[in-house]
Amino acid sequence: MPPKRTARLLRNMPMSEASDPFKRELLSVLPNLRAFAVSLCGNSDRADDLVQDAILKAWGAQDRFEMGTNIKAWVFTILRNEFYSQARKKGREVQDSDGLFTERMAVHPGQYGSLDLKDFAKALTQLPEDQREALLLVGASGFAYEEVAEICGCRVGTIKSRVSRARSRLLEIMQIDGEMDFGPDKSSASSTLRSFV
Amino acid sequence: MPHEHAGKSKERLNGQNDPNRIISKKLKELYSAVEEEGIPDRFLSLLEKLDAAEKNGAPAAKHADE
Repeated sequence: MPPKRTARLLRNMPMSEASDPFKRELLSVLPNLRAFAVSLCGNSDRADDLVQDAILKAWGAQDRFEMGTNIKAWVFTILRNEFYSQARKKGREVQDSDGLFTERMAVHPGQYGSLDLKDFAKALTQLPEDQREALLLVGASGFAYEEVAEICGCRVGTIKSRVSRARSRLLEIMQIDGEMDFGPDKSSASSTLRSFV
Repeated sequence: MPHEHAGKSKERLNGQNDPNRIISKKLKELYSAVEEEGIPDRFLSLLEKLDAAEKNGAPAAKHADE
């Protein structure tokens, strides 16, 4: 675990709370897991419910987790499966079209061009779920393609192609919305994987 | 992978305006914005309860669907 993150987590809680190894491991991945959930759902209430379900499932299944192996990938797999199974159960579109990152997302001043974070988050939610999750897992959660393939239960090549399509599509959406000027050469959108990780 | 890109093209790709770089930065900013909120209390107290239940010998949350 990166020392920085550990320090930040320990500041958040009394020492006794971090005593159980499984719990400590779980806590260490929670911030990133939650960021993934929020970005995936585009809605923080739903994301937090999802995170809660994932915590409960992971806790209940901790006997099946081997300490020292990759808990992050394990918990992300649980959350992802939960996301899709809930979506199926509810028989509705996975993606909410309203209330995307609305009130809660602080509007950060646009550092790059005119695109602020809220607009970016909104563009992200317009991607198909499989592309969005692949992009998030590789580009922000810090997983290797092989790990993402395992989390999503598909081949590495499939993940690479999803990430690539996600990036191209994202650029299209942002350009259509006129949120951002990418400069003269837009064709580089397709040569995504090289510089991404 | 087209490694033959060089010179100006490479320079541009490594530059501030490279769309892929901007996407990567935005993704990380988005995550940071959420991570900076810290772990919500509901999760800390949930884990505390689960941990306490386990230590007291009560059945752990095997049926976590509720």
